[in-house]
This record gives sequence, C-alpha cells and structure tokens, in this order.
Amino acid sequence: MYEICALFVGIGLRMWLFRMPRVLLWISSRPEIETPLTSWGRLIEGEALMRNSQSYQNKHSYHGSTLLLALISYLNLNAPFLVEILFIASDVISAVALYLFAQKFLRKELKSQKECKEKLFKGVSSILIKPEHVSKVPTIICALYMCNPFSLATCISKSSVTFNNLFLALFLLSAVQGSIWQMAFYVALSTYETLYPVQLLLATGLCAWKYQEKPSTLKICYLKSLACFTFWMALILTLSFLCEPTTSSLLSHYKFILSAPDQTPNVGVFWYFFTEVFDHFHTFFMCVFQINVLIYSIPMSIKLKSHPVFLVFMLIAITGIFKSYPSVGDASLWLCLLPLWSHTFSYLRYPSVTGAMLLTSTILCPVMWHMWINAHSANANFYFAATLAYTTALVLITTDTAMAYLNWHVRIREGLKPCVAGTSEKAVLRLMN
Amino acid sequence: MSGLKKLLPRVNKICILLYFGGIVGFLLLSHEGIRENCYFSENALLPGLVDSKFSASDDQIHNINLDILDPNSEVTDELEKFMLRVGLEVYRQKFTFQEKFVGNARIQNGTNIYGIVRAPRSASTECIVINIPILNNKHNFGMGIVLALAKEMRKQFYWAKDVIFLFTEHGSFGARAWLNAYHGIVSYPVSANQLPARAGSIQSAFTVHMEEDAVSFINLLVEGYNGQLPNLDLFNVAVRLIKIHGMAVSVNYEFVPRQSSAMDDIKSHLGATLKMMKKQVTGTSSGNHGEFIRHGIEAITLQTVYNPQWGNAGFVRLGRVIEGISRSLNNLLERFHQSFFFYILPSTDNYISIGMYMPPLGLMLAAAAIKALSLILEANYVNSEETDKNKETKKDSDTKESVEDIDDILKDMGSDYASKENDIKNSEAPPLQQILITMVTSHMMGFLVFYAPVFTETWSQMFNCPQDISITLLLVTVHIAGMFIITSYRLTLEGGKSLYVVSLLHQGILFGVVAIINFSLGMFLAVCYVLPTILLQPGYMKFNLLRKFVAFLVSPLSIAALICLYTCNGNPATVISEFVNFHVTVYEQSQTQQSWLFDFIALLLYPLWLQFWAITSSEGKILT
Repeated sequence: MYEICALFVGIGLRMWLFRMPRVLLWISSRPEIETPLTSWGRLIEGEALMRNSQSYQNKHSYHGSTLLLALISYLNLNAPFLVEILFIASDVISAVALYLFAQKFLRKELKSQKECKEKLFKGVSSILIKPEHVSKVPTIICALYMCNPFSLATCISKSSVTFNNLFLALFLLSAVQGSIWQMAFYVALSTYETLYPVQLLLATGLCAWKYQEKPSTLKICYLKSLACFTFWMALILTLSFLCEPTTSSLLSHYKFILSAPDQTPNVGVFWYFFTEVFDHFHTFFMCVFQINVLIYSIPMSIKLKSHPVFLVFMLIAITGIFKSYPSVGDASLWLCLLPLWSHTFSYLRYPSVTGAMLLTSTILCPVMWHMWINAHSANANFYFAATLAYTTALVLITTDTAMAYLNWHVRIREGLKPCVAGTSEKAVLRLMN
Repeated sequence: MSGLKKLLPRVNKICILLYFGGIVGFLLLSHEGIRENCYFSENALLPGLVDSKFSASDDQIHNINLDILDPNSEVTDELEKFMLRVGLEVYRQKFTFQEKFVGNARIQNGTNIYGIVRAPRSASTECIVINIPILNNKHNFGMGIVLALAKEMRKQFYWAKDVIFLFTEHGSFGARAWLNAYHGIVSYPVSANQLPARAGSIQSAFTVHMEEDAVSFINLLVEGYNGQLPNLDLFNVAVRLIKIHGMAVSVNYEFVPRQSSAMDDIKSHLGATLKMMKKQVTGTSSGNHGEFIRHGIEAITLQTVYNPQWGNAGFVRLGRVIEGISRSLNNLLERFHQSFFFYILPSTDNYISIGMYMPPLGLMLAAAAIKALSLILEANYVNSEETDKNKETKKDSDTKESVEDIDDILKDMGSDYASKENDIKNSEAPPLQQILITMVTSHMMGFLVFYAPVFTETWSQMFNCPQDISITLLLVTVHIAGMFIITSYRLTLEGGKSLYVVSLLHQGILFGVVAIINFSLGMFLAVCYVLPTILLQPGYMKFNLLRKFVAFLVSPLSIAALICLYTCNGNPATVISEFVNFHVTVYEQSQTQQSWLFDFIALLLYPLWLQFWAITSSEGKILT
C-alpha cells in the first residue's frame, strides 16, 4: 500500500518540478547533476547538430551513446511530450524493479537462513533477518528511490543516468531470478551506455550460480553469461552501427569515458587532478585512475563469492564513486539500496558521522560553486574540497557497510560478542569469513 | 572510552564554555595582536606612484556643476551635451523598474547616460567604470569633478583600458539595468533596453557619491549584496590614495583611532567591526557598487561627507583621488585575485581575515555539534548497558530459547505478514517517522511563510487595512499558525530526543554554510541560537514553561520584535510602526534587490526554529 503511495508521490513531485522552469533551469545547470557525458543540454545540442548537418559524426559536444541520441531525437521530433514521460516512467520502472528485487532477495535470504539454521550460533536471534524486514524494506527502498532528492534531481534534469539506473535496477531484479539471458542483456545495455558496468559480468556468473533454478557449476555459469553478454553486446553494437555507420563514432564514446578529456567540474575525483597534473604524466595517471575503478571487482568477487548481490551492490557503489564522470544520480541508486542491509546496521561503526558528512558536503557543493563562479570570491579549491568531502563520505559509507555486512556474517556464526578467553575484552574483528 | 563517559554528564558545561569562548574569541578579533595591517598584494596597482595630472581648478569644477545642474533643463541632456563637447562617445539607455511591491506598486522609468573614453593604447578589450549616481534625480556634485577628469583623459595617451563614465538614475536600479544590459542578463524587477555600445570586459569600478558641493572626508562603502565584498586590494588602493592627497578617510564613519589605551583601542575597533557586520546581516548593499560586485566586478563607493566644522578639502583633491584610483586600476594586468575576498574591517588600516574570524564561530557551532554527539553517545551507552544486562540474565535460558526463536520467526515467513504486524502492538511511531513528519511539516510551513506575501492584496481588501499592515499580519499569522500546527503532532520523549539531535546537527550545518556566504549573518544567528538550543534538551518537565519561553524568545518573530524595540530607542509609540516597517523592508529588499534574507528566514531558519519549538512540547518525564 505504502509503496503505491510512494510511487504516486514520486510521480507527482516529478511532474510538479517539471512545471517549475526556474527550479528546472537551476538544477539543469548544476555540475553535480549534469556531466558532459550525461547532460541533457548536450544531448539536445547533439541532436540539433545531427539533424542540421545530416551527419552523425558531429560529436564535439555530445559524448553519450548513439542509440540514446537516436531514441531521444526520434521522440523529440515526433512526440516531445513523451520525453518527460519517458524519464518519469523509467524512474517508476526502476523503483518497481527495486521493490520486487528487494522482496525476492530478502525472501531468499530468509529462506537460506532457515535452511542453515543449524550452522548458526545459539542466541543470535536478535540480529537475524526477520519477516518484518521482508515486509518493510522493499517499501522503504521504493519510497527512497521515488522521493530522494538525488534521484528527483537526476530525473528532472533529464540526465541519461536515469536510464543507466533503470538498467542496473532491472539487472538486480533479474539477478535474484537467476536468469542469465536477462542479466547479460541489462549488463550489455548498461555497458553500452557507460562502459564501467562491464565488471558486473563477474557478479553475473555468481548470481546465476547461486540463484539459478537448475544448479550448475560456476564455470558453466561464467561461460554462459560471457556468451550471452557477447551476443547482446554484439547485437547492440550492430544496432548502434546501423544508426551511425562509422566505427569511429562507436569508439569515440568509450574513448571519451576512458580518457576523460572534458574537465568540467563534477563531483568526481578526475577533473581537478587532471587540470593540475603535468601533461607528460597525464596518461600514466589516467591509467591509474581508471584501474582504480575496475580493480576492486576482482578481490571482491573472490571475497564475496557467496554473496553475489552484495557484490553487485558494492560494484555499483564503487563505479558510481570513482568513474570518470560521476553525478549524484549514480550515488542515488546504491544509497537507496542501503536499507537492504538494515539487519547489519547495528555493526556500522560511525553512521552518524558519515551521514552528517554526506549531508554537509552535498549542501556545500552548490554553496562553494556559488562562491566560486557567481560571487567570484572563492576559487576552484573550495569547490573541489566540497566534492572531495562528498566522495570521501560515500567511500566511508561503502566501506562501513561492507564491514558491517561481513561483521554480521561472522557474528551469526560465532556469537554476538565473542570474548577472548580469560578476559572481558571484546575480540578485535578481523575481516574474515 | 571511560574518559568520555565521565565527560558526558558535564557536556552542558563544556558546551556553554565553548559558546562563551566563541563570543570572547570574536570580541578579541579586533585586538591589536590579532587584527592585521592592510597591505598590497597586487604589485601592479602601484598606488600613488604616478604624478597627478589633474589640473582643473575648484572654480572650473564648480562652473561645470552649475552648467549641468541648470534647473531649466534635464540633467541627462546637459550631461550628454557636455560629454559630446569634450569628445566622448555618449549613449543613452532607458529602463523601467518597480520600486515598491507593498502598497503603491507602479512601474517607473529611468534613463542612464554613459560616455566612453576609448583607450588610445589598446583595442577595447578591458575597461574601468566610474559610476556617478544622479541623486534624487537631479544632482551629484561629483559630476563636475568626473567630467573635468574626462575632459583631460581624452588628451592623455597612457590609458590602456577604456574608461566608462556612467551616470545612473534611481540608485541601484539604474546601475543594475545598465549592468544587466551590458552582460545580456534579465533580472526582475528591472527591464532595460539594449546598450548601443560597449567597451571590453569590466575589470573594476567605483562609485562617486557626493551629495554636497564641499567635502570634509571620504567614507568608503564596501558591503555588497548577500555578504559579498570587493577585493581588499581595491579598498587599500582607495584608502592609500585618499591619504596621499591629504584627506581623511573612514569606513562606516569610523576613523583610525588616535593613540589611546588598549581598552579604548579595542572598543573603537570593535565598534567599527560591529557596524560593518550590522550592515552585512541585512544582505543589502550600501551603495551602487553592490550591483557591480554581483557581476563579479570589484567595486567600491566613495561617499563624501561635509561637516562645516571640519572644513572643506575641495574638489581638486577629490579629483586627484579619483584620477589616482583610475590610474591604479589602469595599471592592472589581471583581474583582482590576489588579496582577500573574505574579511571584516575594524578600521581603514586593518582587516580581520577569514582564517581569524572563522574559529570563534567554529567554537560556537562545535558547542551544538558536541551536544548532539554526546546525546548519540549516551544513547549508545544506555543501549549497550541494557543489552549487557539482558545477556547476563538470559545467559542460561538463551541456548534453549534461541532455536525456538528462530523457528518462531521463520514460521511467519511467506505467509501473511500483515496480520502479524497488527499483532505487534506498536502504539508509538518509531523516532525516524516522527522526525520525518515534523521536519516535513515544518518545511511546508516555511513554504507557506515564503508564499504568504502573495496574498497581501487579498488580505488587505478582505480586512480593509493598508497593504503594509496586511503583509505584516499575514506573516505573523502564518508564523503563529505554524507553531500550533507543529505542536498538534505530539512527539514522544524518544522522538523528541532524536529530533533534538537531528535539529542540532541541522543547525550547525545551516549556520556554518550561511557563514561561508555571509559571515555576519552566520555569526549573528550563532550568537542568537546556539545557547538557547543547547539548553532545550527534552527530558524533564520541570522547567518546561521556561524552556518554551526561551524557545519563543529566539523565534524569528520575537527576534524581529526585539530588533524593533532596540531601534526605536525607548519610544514605545513607534514600536508597532517600526515592526510593520521591518517586515515590509525585509520583504521588499528580497524582491527588489534580490537579498536572500527573507527567503532564508522563511525557507530555512523558520522551519529549523519550528523543529526546536516542537521539541519543547514533546513529552517528558516528570521530575519529582
């Protein structure tokens, strides 16, 4: 019931905000929301260039994917009112997908908890997943996704992050269903859009292995998902190629993501560093920064082998924080998923600090931007400091969540408060399963 | 950990200490050892190193003034004639604006007139603006000086930047109309015609404001809109040049005090600091320069003051000052960027930088943050102690119970959760829900206050009262209605405590952010709010009335009333009209000058205060 209310409130809020030109203008010019890769303004410009020059190669301002441009320009030409509806609808579908995903996932967790209750330590019932988690958490997630300011701003700024979030939400839903075809499809779509989600392939095999109806070995799952992914990717790329028959246009999108040439300020860590760094170190540090986004997937998929959904969550979070053109929309998806781990929240070390830090840095970003760009009295360092605090807050939230999650798994096996023999001191937690 | 535990009961004392520490720290800012002497960061300015070429005599300037201020013709026509005769490019710009929003609201017309001296040494890529507001739509005795200067400038070959002599009407509206047109911006409530000609990008500007035809000393005005300030280097240049040419200079009518005792020294500097901050709190500008600063152009106003007892320094000196400033600005190679943008001025020779004035504020805000943290820690300790106790008592039975527990939990799985939920008798909403409801309600009330002035006209027709009274009544009514609405949802003790923690953090963040934009406002709010809110902790009913009184005392409404009581100087008859006037002014300034004060109070401060108000009426234990 509440989730339907939340959906309607979210739709209402979005429609109301779409009717407020001043707010819309302000939000659409925020560098925290719009990046060169995802901005609506650039998309429109690309569309106009495409229409007027009759050539698809004008990619000086637009750097997104070809298919999205084709879709939007088709809509804009034939039914402009559908564009807003498309954005609202994709948010609604994401929210519903997240709701169903959370429900299925928590039910499965609860079931598996029941199945292996012999293995659990005695007296840990207070921290186990309870039925009210299953009933409440999906609603909270749905409401959060529909009403939180980050996704609201992303939707009404018509940023293409909305679609990426939609693909990832659908990916999550298909992950708990264990259907390789669907998972591979959504990974392929998302990869086509923003490239980084390719690392979700590691999780795809694990999800299939864990949640498939017919059990098969991990190797086969991986092979299958790789094959499906290749198929879908090839299909999408072919479509894209048909839309715009040059190879350079296909590659320029990914080149733009990987080499991050546009250093318009955003909430990420790339722009400031690469405006400051000397040119001959540029390539080296670009490699370091890009590896930084992708490298965590390997150790984490080893560590979280038996928790593929948490792995997906972590990968989405890390990508959203460290990618070359992040926006608050990227963070909105995984921040909304946090209630999924509410049973482990008692093991968070400093939730109030990270929460306050995220809030403060989010508020500081526009203020520092105002001081720098409008008031002329501050400089780029002020804004960068605010975005760095924002990134740090997000990193702290992810690590804290991961620690709490792992800690919880140790606790249900080894008891609530293991005591070191002979003393009353608490055992120091080590990151081990 | 145990050390922290011991500190917890004393946290109130620590917070109060921090608060007063912050205040004392702030008061000490004007001390000799802490305030710093002004210096030039930008070497290119070279103030006073060029010979003054200004050769017009007092009589000549006086004659120009007489010509221009001819009562039989329009000032603008005379100005145009004179500047054309001297050989400047002269253009006009017409604009319309709305000055009043409450009561007599009508669209007015105005004309700006400007002449450009093109730089002989460069293409028109950069320029300096000398702005002369035409006061009361007729005079400004600075016109004679500036025109004499323009006449000479035409013949001089060393100007590297175009110089625009801008004569604006209707105070800041004219300047805004011109600047908007110059930059291609439209901003309500001014609408301006396109400019026929431009010079390059405006590097810097200053305004000459001369109401009488004699001058004793020059008062510098620096405060821009919403806490903006010009670069300190520009201020330094003005001070240095005025001194070089043998005139007295003040800021906010405060001079550098003569040698005196340390106490007197601190007192006079502190007085000047407070005067400046008082101006900044309102978020409005003290002169036309504010409009320039809004566009990222460093600007300052030279306001001349004449006091017959002090004698007349004469037009020529002022002319040389203006020439000197223009030449210093002409020397600039880059925009102002070196010196401070964040400062307070205790006198013309000293400044207090952001690095010095932020720590006292930080101490005060830390008091609130520490209070919030202590409450979180306390709650954690209570929780862990309770679980410890539970564990000890349960220890034996636990092993058997737990398996059944899990079974109980798991039985419910997959079946109807709804019925189970009803069984769990949870009469009290969880704190998170209470916090959310209160915060959303309070912010919605904030929106109502923000939009209330829209109904001014309807209200005044309905109750048949003048519009300025009706807007005040509207705001007061919504304010008080909010207080009742927010308390109609009664918080539990737990909810009140949680909301209290959230509100304290909210307050800290809000005031900190405000202080970055407008330090004076942030400091004022911190002084007003931090101490009362620290004392508002819910829990005991004993001093509930007193707590409510304290909370009410810091409501935006009472603060407005207190300010009016203070400004009416013990003449109670005028308090009401002062109060009405206060509301009208704050609202109109937000409309006409885009000051953020009204928006800030309505949308951010009032909701925050409502949260604290809700906390004071949360349930509490009765202490016997």
